[in-house]
Amino acid sequence: MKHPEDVIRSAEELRWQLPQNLHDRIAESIYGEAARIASRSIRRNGSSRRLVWQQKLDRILTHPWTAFPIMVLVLGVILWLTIVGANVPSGMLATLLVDQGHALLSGWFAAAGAPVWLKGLLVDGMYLATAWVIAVMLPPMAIFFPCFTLLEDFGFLPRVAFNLDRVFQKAGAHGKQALTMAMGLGCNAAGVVATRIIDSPRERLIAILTNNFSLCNGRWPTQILMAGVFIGTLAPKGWGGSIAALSVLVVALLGFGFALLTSWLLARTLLRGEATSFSLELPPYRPPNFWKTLYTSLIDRTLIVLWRAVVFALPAGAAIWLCANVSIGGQSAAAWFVQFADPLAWVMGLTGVILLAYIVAIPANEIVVPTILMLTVLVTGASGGAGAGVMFETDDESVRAILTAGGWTTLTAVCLMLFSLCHNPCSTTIYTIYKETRSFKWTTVSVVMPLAIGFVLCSTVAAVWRWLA
Amino acid sequence: MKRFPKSQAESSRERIEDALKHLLDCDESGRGATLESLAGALGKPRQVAAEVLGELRGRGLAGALGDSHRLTEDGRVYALQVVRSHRLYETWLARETGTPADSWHREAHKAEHLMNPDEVDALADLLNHPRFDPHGDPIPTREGHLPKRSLVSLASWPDEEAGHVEHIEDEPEALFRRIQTLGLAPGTRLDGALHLADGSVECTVEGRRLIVPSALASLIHLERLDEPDHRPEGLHRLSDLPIGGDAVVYSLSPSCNGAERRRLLDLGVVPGTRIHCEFASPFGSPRSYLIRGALIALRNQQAERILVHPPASSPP
Amino acid sequence: MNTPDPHAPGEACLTCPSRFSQLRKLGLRVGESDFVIALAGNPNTGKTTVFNALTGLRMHTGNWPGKTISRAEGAFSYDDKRYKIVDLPGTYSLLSASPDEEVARSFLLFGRPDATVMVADATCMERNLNLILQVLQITRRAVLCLNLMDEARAHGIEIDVRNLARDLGVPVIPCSARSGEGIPELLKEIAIIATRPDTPEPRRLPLEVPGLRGALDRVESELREAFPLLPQPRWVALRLLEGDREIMDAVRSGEIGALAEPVAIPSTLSA
Repeated sequence: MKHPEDVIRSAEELRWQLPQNLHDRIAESIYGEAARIASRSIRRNGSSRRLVWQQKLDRILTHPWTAFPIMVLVLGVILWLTIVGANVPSGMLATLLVDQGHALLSGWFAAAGAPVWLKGLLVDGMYLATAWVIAVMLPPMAIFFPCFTLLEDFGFLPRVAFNLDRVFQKAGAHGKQALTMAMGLGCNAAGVVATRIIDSPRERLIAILTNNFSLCNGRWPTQILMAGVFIGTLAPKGWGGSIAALSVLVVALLGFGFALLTSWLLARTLLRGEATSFSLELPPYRPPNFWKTLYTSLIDRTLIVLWRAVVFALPAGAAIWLCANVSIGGQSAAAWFVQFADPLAWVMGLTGVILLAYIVAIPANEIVVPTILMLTVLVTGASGGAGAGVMFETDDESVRAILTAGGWTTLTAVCLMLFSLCHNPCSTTIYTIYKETRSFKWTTVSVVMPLAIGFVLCSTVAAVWRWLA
Repeated sequence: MKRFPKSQAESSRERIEDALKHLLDCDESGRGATLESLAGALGKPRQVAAEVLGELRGRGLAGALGDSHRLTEDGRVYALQVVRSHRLYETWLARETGTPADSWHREAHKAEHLMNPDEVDALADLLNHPRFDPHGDPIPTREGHLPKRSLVSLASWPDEEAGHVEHIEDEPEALFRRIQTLGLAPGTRLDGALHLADGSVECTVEGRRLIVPSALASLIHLERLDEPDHRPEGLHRLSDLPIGGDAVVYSLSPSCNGAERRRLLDLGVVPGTRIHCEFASPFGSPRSYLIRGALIALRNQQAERILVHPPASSPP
Repeated sequence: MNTPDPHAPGEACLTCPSRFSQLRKLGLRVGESDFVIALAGNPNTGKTTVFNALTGLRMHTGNWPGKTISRAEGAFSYDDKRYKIVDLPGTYSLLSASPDEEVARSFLLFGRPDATVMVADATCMERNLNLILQVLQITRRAVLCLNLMDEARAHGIEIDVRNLARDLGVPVIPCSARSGEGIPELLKEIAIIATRPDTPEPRRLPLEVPGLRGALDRVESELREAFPLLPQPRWVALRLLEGDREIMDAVRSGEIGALAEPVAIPSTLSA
């Protein structure tokens, strides 16, 4: 009986007698056999080339003059559809859940003789925060995700990676980072997981650290609302939606620019190294099955994302209400923080309320806007709120009124859009980054780096804006 | 590999091992090592070199033979182990990390003194027991076996003779980097050498005619082909194939190694595969190629390492 | 070395401990299933679509290679038997050391699925056959699912299915998983293979490398001596000659011997 060690030893001895390029030779002979089998059973009628329409489409989508305009246009159209299309259903949901639902529940609690603090915590805090999240998030996500999924199924994304590879290579990163960033447009945690398609550890780490610059679904609502309320209203009548979509597109492209810039910086400082190889299969275009895609993306993505937002909104709603209603030394906790943070916020062109909202919203970016609105109502005592810490209004005009009363200007909105792009990832993403990198160091970098960039960016914009004004 | 501040013991180990390598070098090339040559190799004053030699003799690793110093059998075994760790570490850097080629030698020079035999064996295991390092030098086996070779430098290579690049000196770094950018690597075939008046050498490398300056030519060592092989006419690189053109793979360049080579083989880039260049990205690189029925995007730097010939010269 | 199987071959599969502990080590929740099916194939051949068609799940499928990153699991019932199906990451080959390929390779070897469904893109069979031939070196309890037949027809590609099946030595089912074409036939074939009592010899490859055949013969015969019942000694020999560390460790620890135990078949079927 042979001992296993003997087998290994004789294999190791025999290996020295084999050609040095053994692996090459084996690969070659397997492919040779594959070709022989294929030639015996497979017949091609006509040309072995790809279908003509696929060739033509590829030529247009990768042509130096048309490739980039088409990519930007596609993203722009999706944003426009999302912003314009979500307006009406969002309004309807708000009327239903916020106006009528809140009144109904308040009525019930009053009729049941519940204590004021209980009604405040449950109805004014948790219920309203959740209702707000659903009203604000569901319609845009229900439009954005299916559109994006259709593109994905069609086979467009690999072409984007193909077109952009050279840019990423110059930055010292991997072309497939474009794919992971596209995934990040849906959810950064998903984008971070998708970086597994990058083989080189160095380039993969760069892709993980910069994925946060892809605006995720949690941040689209902030962008869309700010663009709609402050920037869209600057435009002539009838153009509001388009201008708003355009400004969101600019922020999204800015994010892409930052991702490239930080990749470039990382590849020259912390993650030095050479660009490795790149081999990407460009699959044939496949007309997506429209209804099936719509169904899966609604079930798989929209509802899951919404569920996550709701799970985080419930406790956050309670926290906000408590913040606003528990007073310390005659002033609520929220007011204390806002007072304390205001000077820093001023430098960044923001308000203390926004900074507080970002801290409350670390678990999920989705609740930033509701938190801001609620806190603004509290601090300014603006009309429209139903007492301290109750968020109410959702249509653009009244939102604008509340925020303007809170001392907001167009600058605040612009800086908020920029800060929303450049700040720490949400807690889920941070956890995912830790799981994927197994390193505290890189997780810390992924949190601190965008925050630092956001601070510098917002401060600069604010300083220049004030100097010009 | 963790690096600690250098302790006394470590720097002494480093000096001993560097001295051993120098003695091995001298033994291999047949010239004797002297106190001067050792001082030069260590970059230290003669007095230090003498101390080191004293210690080597004391430990029975070296002995004097007239004016020159030679390794004892023990010394040779030790020296070969140092060389083994150096070359294995270089191989690891080249294959598994994105470390630039010009820092391989420097990094390996640091690491070779820090590894213990188990770590070296584990590294060999991890790399699947490579036989040659990225410079083309044979890696001594665990048992201390190192094959001897007769190499000729490109500077004294006969005109018109075909050969394989077998070894490239990795020092000085700047020159090594220039050789790398020329696309020369161990295993690369070189044809039609022609010595020019200024000492530089004109030659054909993988379908391209290039001129190797004299400063570089002496760092490149070649070996004659075992048997003359017939290379097809019109051999060129895949990156030079025009869009819409067809070609058949002849071979993968030896400079394409590690994960990159395996990936290309997996994708079906093996000798005899027919490739059609479909279209380029807006910046010209990457380009997409139809390879065995699938459209694969490759950067030009990768396509440069795939040697192809026109389809007519061999049956499809 | 090789302990005889404590269970009679007729005993139910679920009580065969070594195999299922092995599967659990690979991260599979075996649960209440009677059979384990693996789904292997190149990237972007529609493996996930086949997976969905078999399980009735609706995993999202994207049209880009590498979409299925982690291994997905599902289950289905057919003819009163419960099947667990594992969607392996898409790979071009099983020869390399990339993490994806290691997952697929270890599952096929150590997970010993009762049947392996090899999903191939009918429009570029030559490329897909490369992987299929490698899978068949590990197991011939396999069926080839020729997916995307509708696209192949649009390209004017004709495939002689019977000829291909004879060449490969495994059944070949033309499918179009998106429209559900061929799925019933595929299910039937999976059931036949999974319940098959014998384990056919893996397919041999003519490897025309000087000196390789002799070396393979020697290592193979030594492996046969050490592990007489090992189902794929030639493949393991090749991996040893290539210096695959995972396989070397498995040989060294004798773990590879566990593969030598016959796969037990539920009594109702083997009777």
